[in-house]
This record gives sequence, C-alpha cells and structure tokens, in this order.
Amino acid sequence: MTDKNPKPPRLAKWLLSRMTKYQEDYSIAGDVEEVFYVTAKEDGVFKARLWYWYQSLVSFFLYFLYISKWRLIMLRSYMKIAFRTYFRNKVLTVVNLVGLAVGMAAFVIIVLYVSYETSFDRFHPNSKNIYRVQYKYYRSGDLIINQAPTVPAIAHVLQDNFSEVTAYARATREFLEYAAFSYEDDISFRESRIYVVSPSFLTMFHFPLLKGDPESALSGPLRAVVTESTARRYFGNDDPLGKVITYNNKHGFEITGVCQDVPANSHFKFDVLLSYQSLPYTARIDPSGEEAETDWNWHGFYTYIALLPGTDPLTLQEKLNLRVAEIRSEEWKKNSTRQEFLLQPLEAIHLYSDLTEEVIPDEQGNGEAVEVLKIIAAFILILAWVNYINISTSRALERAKEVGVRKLSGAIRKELMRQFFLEYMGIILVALFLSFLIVISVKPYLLWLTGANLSLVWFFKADFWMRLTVLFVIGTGLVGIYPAVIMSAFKPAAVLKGKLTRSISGVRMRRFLVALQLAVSVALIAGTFIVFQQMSFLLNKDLGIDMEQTLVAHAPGMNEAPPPVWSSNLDAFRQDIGEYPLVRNVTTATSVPGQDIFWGHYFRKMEDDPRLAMSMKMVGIDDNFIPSFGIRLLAGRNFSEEITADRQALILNESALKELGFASPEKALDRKVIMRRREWTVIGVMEDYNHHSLKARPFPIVYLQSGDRGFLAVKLEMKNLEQTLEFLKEKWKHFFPGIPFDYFFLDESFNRHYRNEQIFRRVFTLFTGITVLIACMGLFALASLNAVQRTKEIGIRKAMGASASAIYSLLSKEFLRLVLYASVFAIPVTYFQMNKWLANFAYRIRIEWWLFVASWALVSFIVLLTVSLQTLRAAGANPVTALRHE
Amino acid sequence: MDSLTLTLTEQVYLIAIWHLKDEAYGVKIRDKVIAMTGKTMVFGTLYNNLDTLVKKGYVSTKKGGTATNRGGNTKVFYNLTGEGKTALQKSRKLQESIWDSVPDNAFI
Repeated sequence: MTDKNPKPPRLAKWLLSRMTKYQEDYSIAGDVEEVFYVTAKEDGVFKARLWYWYQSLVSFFLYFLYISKWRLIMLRSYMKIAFRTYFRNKVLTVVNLVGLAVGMAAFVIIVLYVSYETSFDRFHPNSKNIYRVQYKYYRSGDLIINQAPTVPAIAHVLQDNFSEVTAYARATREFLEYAAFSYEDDISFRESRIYVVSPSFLTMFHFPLLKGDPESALSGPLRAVVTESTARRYFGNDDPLGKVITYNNKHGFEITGVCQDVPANSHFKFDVLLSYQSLPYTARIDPSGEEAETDWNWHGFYTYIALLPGTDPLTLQEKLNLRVAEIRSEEWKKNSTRQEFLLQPLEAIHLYSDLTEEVIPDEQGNGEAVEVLKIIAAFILILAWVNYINISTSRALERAKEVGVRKLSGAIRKELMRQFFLEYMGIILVALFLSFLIVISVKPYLLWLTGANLSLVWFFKADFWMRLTVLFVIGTGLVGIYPAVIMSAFKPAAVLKGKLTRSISGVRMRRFLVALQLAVSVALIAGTFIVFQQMSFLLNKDLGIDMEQTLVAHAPGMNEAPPPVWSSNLDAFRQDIGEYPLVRNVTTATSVPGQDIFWGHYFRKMEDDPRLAMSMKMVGIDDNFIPSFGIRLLAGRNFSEEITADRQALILNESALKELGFASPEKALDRKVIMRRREWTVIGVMEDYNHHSLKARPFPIVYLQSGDRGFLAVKLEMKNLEQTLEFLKEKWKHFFPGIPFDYFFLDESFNRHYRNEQIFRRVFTLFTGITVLIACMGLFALASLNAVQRTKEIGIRKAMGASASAIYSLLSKEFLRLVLYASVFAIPVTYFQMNKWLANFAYRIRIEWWLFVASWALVSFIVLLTVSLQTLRAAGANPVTALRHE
Repeated sequence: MDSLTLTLTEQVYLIAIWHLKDEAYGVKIRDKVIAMTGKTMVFGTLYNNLDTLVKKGYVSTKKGGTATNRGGNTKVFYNLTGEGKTALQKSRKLQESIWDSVPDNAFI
C-alpha cells in the first residue's frame, strides 16, 4: 500500500470526466479528487477509493437524469416550433406529407410485385444449380424449332458423359390432352395439369410429399402422385394412399403419394403426376417404353438437370453440343439437319424464357416489364425524397431569421441541426406511418392490380420487411439530414442584416432536382403512350380469324358417355341447335384459337426420307370450321362431309406448307403426305392465323377431319343472348344429362393471353400517374417559392408598366424551359428502353416521333397548370403591397 | 417569470456562496451546505443544483487556477449575480412576511 501516493480509481475518474455538459468542464472531477486526498489521509486509501467510486457512480446517475431533463425541455421547444411551422404552411405540409406517403407506399407495392415475379422457382433449395434443356432444331441452316420440351435421349447423354451432372428429371404431357380420371363410378374429373414424370422429379425439385416416399413414389408403372387439393376432390377426407383412380376408363393408377399444392411462384404447376413407366399405357408407344428413353426426334420432354455447385453452364453446354455432334453427325448429314441443346437456368425461366411450348405459356412473366417496374419504383422513391428535400429547403429563407436569432443567442450548429432534423423527421415518420396505412388498405386490390396473390407470399416475410425498413430508415435519415445541414449553415450576421436572399448553388440544385423529376415524368408518360398503343394494336389486330360472338363449350369427354351414344348424341345436338334461328354456325374441333394444341404427329412428303419426318401440331376439325371462323383458303378447298376420300385428306396452314418444303400452295394440292405410315392427300392450304396470340408467330398446323371433338364452337347472333344460352343449356341437358355445360366466349378467352401485358399496362399507368403527381407537387412548391422570392422584382416590373400577362409569361417561361431540357434528356432513354420491351412481341408497333412530342406537350401543360396557381397570384398582386414587403 | 422567489434548496446554496465570498468553489460549497443543513450529499447533486442556478442566472462562474491535488483540473469559482442578490432579498422578505403573523409558540 502506498499511503503516500494514493490514486483515485481510473475508471471512476474517467466516468467523472465524461460529465462535460455542466457549465465548466472537469471541475467536478477536480473537486472529488481534492476531497479524495483528504479522505485518504484521514481514513485510509481503501475507504477513500470506495468513497470515490460511490461519488462518481451516483453523480453520473444524477448527471444523466439532469441532462435528460434539459434535453426534454429542448425537445419540447423544438416540437413547439416544428408544429408552428407545420401549421403556418398548411398546404406545403400536406403536399409534403402526401407526396412522401404516396411515394413510399407506391414503392412498397412495386417492390412487393417485383419480389413476387423474381421469386419464381427459388423455393427449391437447389434452384441455383438446376437447368432446363432447351431444344433447337435446324434444317438446311434454318431454325425450325426453338422450344422448351426436348428429346428424351439428351438426358442420358448428359448423365453418362458429364460428371458435373448429378441428376436429371423429365416431364411430359404428350398424349395426355384428354386425361380424365374416375373414382368409384360417380366421381370423375378432367385433368389438364397432368404430367408423366421421371422418379427423380420429386427428389430434384422441392415439392414435398405429405404422404408417401419421394424416392419410390413414382418408380414402377401405373402410379400417381396427386396434390393435396386434387386428393380432396377425389377422396374427400379419406386417406388417398393406395386408392386406385381409373385413367380414361382404361387403366387403374394407384395413388402412391400426396404432395403439397404447388406454390403460385412455380413455373411448373401440376395436379397429377404419373410415373414414367406408365407412359406405354397413356401414350401410343411401344410397350417397352424404349422410345421415351432413347429417341432423338420426339421433342416432347421437359428435361431438367442438376449440376454440381460451381459448374459453369456455358462450358458444359459447349461440351454437350460437341458430344451430341459426335453421336449424331451422320444422321444430321443425311438429312441436312442439326440439333442444338441449350441450358436455361431454372430461376430465369419465368421471366426470361420465351420459347414455344412453355409449361404454362400464359403465366410466363416478362423480364423487361419487371426491369421497367424496378426502375419506376426507384424513381418514385427518389422523386418522393427529392421532393421532400426541395420543399424543405425552399422554406429555408423563411427560417433564416430564426436561425440567425438562435445563433446569436448562443445556439451552436449542432443544436440547430438537431432541431431541424427532428422537425423534418417528424414529417417523415408521419409519412412513413401513412404509407404503411396506404399499403395495408390497398392490399385487397393488389390481386386485381398485379394478378398475383402477393399477400400470401410476401406479406408475412419478416426479412423482406426488415430490409425495407432498413432502406427507409437510412433513406429518410439522409433526406432529413440534408436540409438540416443547409438550414443550420446560415451566417447569423448576413441573415440579420437581410443580406442573404438566396444561395445560388441551392437554387441550381433545386432546379436540377425538379428537372430530373420532369425528365422522369416525360419518360413515363411517353412509356405509357407506347404501352397503350401496343396493347390496343394487339387487341385490335386482324388475326386472320373471326372470333367474335363465338361461344365455346367443352364437348363431353368420350369417357363420360359410351362412344356410340356420345357420337350420335353430339351429332343430334349439333343438328338441333344448328336449326335455332339465332345460331349462325356450329363446328366441332379438337382445339380452338387460344387453346393449346396437344395433338401432333410426324409428317413428311411421300418422296422424302422417313427420317426427315417433322413433328407438327394437328387439329381435328369438321367442314364447318373454316367458314365458321372465316379463315381464308390460299388454294384448294375445304373438307366436305359428302366426299368419303376426305377422311384421308389434309389441309395445311402456310407454315406447315413451308416446313414440309412445298414450293407454293398450288403445288401442294393433291400431293401425298405420310403420317402414321399412311398416305394423306393435301386438299387445301389455309392462310396462317394466330392460334395462340400475337406474342408469337404462327406455327405449322395440319388440319384433318376427326372424330375426336374437344370443343364445340357456336357462332351466335348477339341479340337475345340470354334466351339463346337458355336454349343451348336446355338442349345440352337433354342430350348429355349430368354433364356440366361449361362454356366461354372465344374472344375473351383469347385475350387472356395478354393477361401479363394488361397487368403491366395497369401497373405502369397507375405508377406513372403517381410519379407525375409527385413531380407536380415538387413543382408546385418550387413555383410558390419562386413567386415569393421575386415579389419585389415583380412589384418593380409592374410599377414600371409591365402587364400581368407579361409577368405571367416571365415566371412560367423558366419552368417551360426546364421541361424542354428534361425532355431532351428523357426521350432517348425512353426510346431505348421501350424498344427493348417491344422486342418481346412478334407483332409490334413502331415508336412514332409524335408520341414524344405529345408527352412533352402534356407535361408542359401540366407544368403550366401547376405553376399558374402560384404565378397568377404573383402576377396579379398589387405592386404597392409587394414593394412594401420589408 | 413571476417566481423571482427561490426554493429553499436554492436559498441554501446561494447563502453558502455568499458566505464563502472569494472562496466559493465546489469542495467548499459542498462543505458549507453540509454544515448548514446537516445532511451529506454527493458531488453530482451539488453540480446539478449549481448548474441550474447558473442557467437561471443567479450565479456566475469564473475559472481559477489548478492545483496538484486536483488531478490537473481547474477550480471553478461561483459568485452571486445582481439577479441572485435581488432574488435572495425578495425571498427573505416573503418569508419574513409569512412568518411575521405567526406567534413563536403557535405550533407547540
């Protein structure tokens, strides 16, 4: 113990030295130390140290309370001033609040939508390493096929030659177009989302089985896995495992697994999966199933492969095509064909794949649209914030005197910054709160707006909201700090002498920000014009087919009535309704425009090598089909019921004509084509019409007369529709008792192909509106500031004889010039981006120059309107009041 | 601000500072206040109260020299301001006028 030289405890001393907020620094530490030495001398060092600790800890606690008390008092005063400011400028406050709240809400909604669109297929744990094999087929150098399903043989080539391929899975819907299952006589359903899949499908993808073993559920023939809700349809609450459902009245399938319903954000959706070894039972192939493993031409198999993590898909793709060339070169040379296989990342399929025969073509997303929306979202948020900064700093002059007085009475800059920051954060926090209210209250409309049930996927994801909150906290923090820095920087002397009118750089900055907003507005308005034009172009374009006033009913399946009865009943039904005065035409076909064509086979000219046979889509029609839909024949004639030879005849469409290699429509007539080892005569050539939608080019279709009838299309007179429908239902009930009459109108169902585009149009328009609104608010604030700042100038000008209209044009000109600069900047960007979007369409409009002039004019008009409110008041004011200003 | 009158605590502190004259710095003020009231206190309380008096303008501060026994920290001396003196006078008058009407043995 060194009694002579006692030292106060260091940590306690440091604690005391932190209490610097008292009027004089450190004197408390000195005082305590002084007493400490006295105590040490009298009572011993230990007691002194104990005493020192006690002093410092208790003092620190008291100090903390004391400081907080003063902080609270200051806070109360800041808040009082903030509220006064808010209420003094009611309009600006409301504009500010609404702009921020709407902007942030819009941002959240777009982010929700974009997250949903980009979340597709990411729920598979291994999704990053899964690829789909895309199929390309060239003949004489021309790309003839470019589609999602590929040939079965490629899976083995991948598996056997490349160690980086860990697994493959195949899925096909070939021959499943009329799949219907029945269970215990009275329960039967048509299934359209049904696939034959390899056993590995359930292990490669994450479609968890609620019942059954994923490893073995789909090995062996005649086994089926159904989804939960499908199981409920057939079996109610009974245990589905081991139950047998009958496929098309022929084969019994045992349920070996029940899988969770497929999430909405999967590009591959199914209700029923059949085991791969069932293929010989459902498809017309050799019982060995050999074709489904080794065929090089049957391109009907969606093939997915899983790669080792870190594999470069492009390198693998290159190696794969080299290997395929080795195997197939002789074959290719013989027929002057070539095949190519590309690897598509699973995660990119929904947004970026645009191939023939996508799994669900209507649900394919549009990556470009999502990119555009992302940009819009960023812009809306930035604009809302920029606006906020603009409006806040535009008030700087009003507050300059307050700042000056506060500084003179001893406020330091830090305190002022804190004051202003709190004031701004107040608004921002209220706006944030409002924006979440908006998002929650518009939640029910999001389904309509985006066509996707976002609430299910995203509303309860914690990390999504966490990230959003972090972004908002950082963003709003910055937005609050900037004006606080600007405002607290005023020099008191200059302000109080009235020297400070406006800082040039501040005005420039604000003008730049407004120009930016205007540029975005011009770009978005031009974009909206283009989206609208393209959509109306698509909806109104001549498709080469007349789809109006056409009612389509699903014809009863063959398994729903015994074939002879079915056939004669259908004929009688057609006969009966055909005679009804308001029915113009009745036709039956295996597919109607807008519906997928599942039926297809190999075709070749008789003289061609059999290996040259091309797989083409087939549609079975009757002699009413062509007149009913108003399809134009380029050569030859329609089918005729009277000519029995027509049962072995075909009608080609233009694309099929080219694909088979006929020189012209006329030259194809009466030529023989081989299909299913039989000869068919070409009797007519049909003009191409767009069977699917204008998003894709027409593709080869072969038409033949067929007993199969999937759809019944009825052309109606549009008057007395109710009555006609009633009649049709009555007749249907008579001929097909117990079978539901489900029908749709052809043009409506066809336009459903544009669902994504319509959603895009809706979203785009709405958010363009919001962006323009926010930009207008910023403009409004700037205009009012401008008018106030130039009060004196205007007064003098008027006193010197300037008319109100001259003043008005003086003040407006500046803003119109801003619009012009903004347009020059915005137009090329819009042109480029919208061209990219339009490139997704097989049929697209050209972007016209006048669109941009129109958008520029529209924005100018809006700007004038906004600015006029303030400017007119300034221009009309009495110069006397203006000059008495100070 | 009608209350130019002081709380009892404020009066004790101000009177302590008046007593000490040129010697009124932290340690001495604390000793004096303890002597006057008979209650001990920590330095935190002392400085909270002193700081409030400074903020209210009753006392002014002046930096003095350092001493080795203070760990290099300066002494800060406190002085009554004019306002402080007026406030003390007012408080005294008020108190005396209150107590004047009460006989000495009123609460016995």
